[in-house]
Amino acid sequence: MSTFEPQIIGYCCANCASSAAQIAEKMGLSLPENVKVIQLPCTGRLDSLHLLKALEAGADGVYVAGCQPDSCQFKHGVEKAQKKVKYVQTLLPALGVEPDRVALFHMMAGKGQQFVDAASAMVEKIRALGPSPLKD
Amino acid sequence: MEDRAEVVFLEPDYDVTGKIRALSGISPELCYQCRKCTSGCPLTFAMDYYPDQIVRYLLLGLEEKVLSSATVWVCSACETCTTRCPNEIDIAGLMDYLKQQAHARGLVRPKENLSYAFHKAFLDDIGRRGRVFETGLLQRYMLSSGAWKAKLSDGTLWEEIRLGLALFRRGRLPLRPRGIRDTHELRRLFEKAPVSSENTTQSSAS
Amino acid sequence: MTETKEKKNKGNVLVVGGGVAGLNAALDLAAQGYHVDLVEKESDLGGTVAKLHRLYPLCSCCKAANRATLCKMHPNIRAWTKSSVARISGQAGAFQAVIAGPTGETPIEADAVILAMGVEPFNPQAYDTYAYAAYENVISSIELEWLQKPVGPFQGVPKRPSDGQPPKKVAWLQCVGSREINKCDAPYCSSVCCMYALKEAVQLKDALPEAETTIFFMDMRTHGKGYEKYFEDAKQKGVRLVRSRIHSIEKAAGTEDLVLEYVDENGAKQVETFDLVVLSVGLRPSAELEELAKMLGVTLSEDHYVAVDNFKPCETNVAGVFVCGGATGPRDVHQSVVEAGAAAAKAAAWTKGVSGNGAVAEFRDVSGEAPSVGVVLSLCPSKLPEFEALIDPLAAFVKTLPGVTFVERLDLLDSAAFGRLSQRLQAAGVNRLVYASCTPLMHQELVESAMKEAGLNPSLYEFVDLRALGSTPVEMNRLQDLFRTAVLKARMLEPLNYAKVPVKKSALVIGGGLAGMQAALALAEMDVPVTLVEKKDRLGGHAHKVRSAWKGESVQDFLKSTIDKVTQHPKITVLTSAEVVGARGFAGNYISTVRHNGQKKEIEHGVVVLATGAHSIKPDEYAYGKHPEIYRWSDFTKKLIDDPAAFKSAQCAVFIQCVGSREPQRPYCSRLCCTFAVRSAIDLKTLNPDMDVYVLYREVRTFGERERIYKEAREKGVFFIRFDLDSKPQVSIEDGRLKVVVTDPILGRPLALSPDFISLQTAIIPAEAADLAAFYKVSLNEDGFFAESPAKMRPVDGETEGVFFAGLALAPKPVEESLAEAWAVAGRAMRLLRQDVMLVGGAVAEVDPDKCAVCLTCVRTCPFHIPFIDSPQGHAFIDPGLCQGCGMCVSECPGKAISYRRLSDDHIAVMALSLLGSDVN
Repeated sequence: MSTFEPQIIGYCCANCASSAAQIAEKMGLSLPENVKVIQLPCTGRLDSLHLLKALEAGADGVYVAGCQPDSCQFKHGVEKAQKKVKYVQTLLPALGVEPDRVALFHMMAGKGQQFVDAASAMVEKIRALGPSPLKD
Repeated sequence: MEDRAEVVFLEPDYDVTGKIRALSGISPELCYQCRKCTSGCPLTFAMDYYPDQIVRYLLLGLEEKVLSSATVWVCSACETCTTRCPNEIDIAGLMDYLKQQAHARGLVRPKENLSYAFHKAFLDDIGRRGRVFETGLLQRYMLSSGAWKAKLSDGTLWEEIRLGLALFRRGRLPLRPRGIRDTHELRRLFEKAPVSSENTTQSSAS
Repeated sequence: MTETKEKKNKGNVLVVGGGVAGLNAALDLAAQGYHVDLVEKESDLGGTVAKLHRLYPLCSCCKAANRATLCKMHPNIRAWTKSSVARISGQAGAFQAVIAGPTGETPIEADAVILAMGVEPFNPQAYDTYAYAAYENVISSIELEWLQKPVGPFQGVPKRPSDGQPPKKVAWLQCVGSREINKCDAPYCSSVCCMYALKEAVQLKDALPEAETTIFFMDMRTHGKGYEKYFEDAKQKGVRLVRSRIHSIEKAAGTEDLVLEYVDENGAKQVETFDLVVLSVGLRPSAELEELAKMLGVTLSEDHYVAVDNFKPCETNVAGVFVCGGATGPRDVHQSVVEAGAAAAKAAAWTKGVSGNGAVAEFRDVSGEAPSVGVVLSLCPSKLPEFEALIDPLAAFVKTLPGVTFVERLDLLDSAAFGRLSQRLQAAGVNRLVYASCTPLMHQELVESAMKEAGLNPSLYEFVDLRALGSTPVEMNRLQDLFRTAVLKARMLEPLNYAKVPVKKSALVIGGGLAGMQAALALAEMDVPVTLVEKKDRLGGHAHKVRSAWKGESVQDFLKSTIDKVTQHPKITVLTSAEVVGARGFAGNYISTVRHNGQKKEIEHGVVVLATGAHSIKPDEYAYGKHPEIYRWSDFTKKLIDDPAAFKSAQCAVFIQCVGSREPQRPYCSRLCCTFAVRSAIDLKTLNPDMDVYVLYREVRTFGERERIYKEAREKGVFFIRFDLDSKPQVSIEDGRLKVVVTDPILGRPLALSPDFISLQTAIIPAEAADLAAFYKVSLNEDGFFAESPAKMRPVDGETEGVFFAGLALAPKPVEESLAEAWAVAGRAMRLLRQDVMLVGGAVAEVDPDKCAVCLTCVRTCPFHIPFIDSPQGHAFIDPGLCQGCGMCVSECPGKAISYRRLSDDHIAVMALSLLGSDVN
């Protein structure tokens, strides 16, 4: 039985998450290979649809990386994203999907390690959950 | 210590700091209450006013209060304060100046202040002969301060006597005083007016 | 060297120093069309700020680093690292300098010079009693910053030098190397140490929640915008503050722990053991400043910083040589960035060149063409060679993707790289671009200009982010997915609408105080016509009640001459008794309605400067209003201005500080009152040496070089008494005589004073500005002052482009700082105004009128209040000139009536599929 390698989509904002990525790059850190990033201008751009579409497309897990609630360059973008994530988490059980497959992380612009740790934590969590039930 | 809640109607005498500056070259008015002096002073446990409080009182011109304090005599001039004051106020020097002022104005009595008694006995000896006569010094100190009475009552006087005999046997306690040759120069030193502009603590003990 | 090249730039400016001030000055100048030579002595740009951790409020890690990258990439900026100015001569308009670096010496020419050489931390070895060199666990604050940095040796969790354990009990000692003439010759205050100690303590507790933090201080100087609140929050978070300075550090016997002895605020001697002691070291001018100043003939102050006239901030005594940041004196990052803007503006005003960016090339109409994608990879030099090895096979793969026309590398070390990119795009005839790099956002501006120059709509590109990727062959799969997705997305992109809007090259300045007038004069000097609107019937604002600047210079004289200059300037139109009652438009294109003399007129302008000022409150404590000799300080000053001998016969004067400031309902510091009180006290003592002058304060905040006048005041016999919020002085009136009772904290007893007059230093509150904020789509902070851009390091910009702030309207500040802000505003405004045409639109939210249900969700969502319901049309309208493209309204709209065509829902769905390996077509 081969070990399961989850496929993760990460929606990252162009501000704090991007800056954190910059620091991670400077520190020589790298995201786990299973994680692929789609950059949004602000996590406020996130629609519940995007989380669901990603799962539908075959992602085993989806996470959102945005600013700290008090540092969002667009003031309350990350709060809105949090709402969407929570909403999707309530929908997922009805579809037979574990709500933990979607998550939101607040980034600090200077913490490169945190940027990578969030991704790794997600990978670990999803690995434990197994492949997405939506996949045939 | 008096009642600290009693409201003092300030009649500050800002001339005091000017006088201090003129007579000793020290500028206590530069103090900005950082408390380093008091924090570092090793003898605060024995003082009634802390060094920074002494400076503060002087800024207000309440010289009399300061001159009759114990602090001024407890100060051992270790200069921990002086070396650390960010404004370069020579606090130890200020204490010296205050000692001199207290003595000059007759505000202290040997019987009330052991420290002063010792200072006085020591300086009187030097003033007379240019050299300390240890035997006479001890005698004079004990008698003038009345310390011998206290020592008698608590029994420590006998120890002092035993110590004195031991010192005498080793030739440490001369029986006769010896002085310097040119005592007139010495007298001139004692009568000379204090230096004003330099930041020194040399001053007369008249 | 430049003879063969046509002078494309307005001029050349030499900026010496690549720290936060130098970087910002260089970028501002480059944006205004100048070429900049940026010289930095260290091996990388960034200066002191790059070595610090999470500054407040301008966090440095991202923003300073970004600016450093941009300076290195910018076609108009030549960054010289590990270099210094070996020789310089000449005069304004024709400086000749020789830059000495690793490759030898290079002569350059400059029209102007900006000194931005910054500061160095004081070496605390001079404090022998602190045993900095001897005890391992005594470190300097700079060292702690490095330990706290996530990129530092311990990933942001500091460890004790002696045993590598996390510290449990940390002490900070303030004023090490500042406010001191004993152990060092620095009678000035370093301005930043109180704040940074608080920040370090808070950050330490963040990283080590169990740690106890204690700061031993004298005066807590948190006088900047938002700093006082930070101070209060720090106390809430458990940072302990002890008002007693430490005289020596001892070691606890047999350990490397440190013992501190001090007298506490109740007068009791305490002894405490700490396992780490941090010395909050002060600032010193850069070591190279002295020599360079001598070469240029620039005068230095007593403290060896550049001497500056308070009314001419950022200017030196040499024409054409300007100064900003730490080189002027100890100051924080915020002020340094303001001054960088001001110095850049002054340099630009000095070396006026040809303006305008000319016409914007027409965009080729690509609508009929099949998508043809050019792929460009630009790797930064720091990428590992293993990664480099993946590039060729990757490029080969990318070439096989449908729609790809070419795949090429771009060498980021080549400053002409972006110019060549534009030529390549044109030559290949591609109509889409995929740009892969490690710092996509930093290159955005450069990529877009390259595309514009090639005649391509600048929205037709997609980035591939090469950051935080591995370098092993396993990475290839992900790289292929990323590139396949990017090419797919690029093909799906439609050219977005850009309206070419001509920029109105004029400015509206609202507020005719010193800040407003100076901004108007600065802009006018750069040939921008200005309309200056003032609510009252005369110019001058709050300045009419300001007597002197901190060194005693007459503000009244300066005010009169400024008013004269403004009213006589041909380019400035002054409207007094006028108010702005409405406005619409966006950066480059505003139409504001002004009511003047009962009539409304419309003024068109490109930028707006809000300099609406502030005033001091009328207090309801200290018996104000109950006695004619109890003054508000503005009234006290007014009296002194009208009659300089007004208080000469007074026997006793009392100044009470912090009246209404630093209170729960107004938790900010009014910044200038301590300096004011000290200055006035000195002047009163000079007037009448026998007058007893008392200053009752909570902290003495004579920051920076102003500390010198605090000393002068003490020398003159001014008596300072500290009080706390819970032991305020009691003011009473007995038989018509004033009586003040205050407890002296050193003596521990109440003192009664009988002043002839009292001056209450009351809080500064901003003029009512909510309407203006709404008109121009900017916001006010919770204290009513304008809120600067959340984008950080933009201290005078509003959150909406085209709107700028200066002076008291932003926060309380002294005259010299308002003047610096006014100049910074002019410089920032010029970035916009120098363009002839602006591209408006692009990556913005667009409402589909047919789908809009007028539910007002977008109106309520937008953080900048941009959507509004256009009544004649009956649907929401989002002004493309104002939309910042965050996408929030797009996702909130319940009817999906708003689209964001730069990154639409369809795009995202396709990208997700593609990234997960599906072959989408």
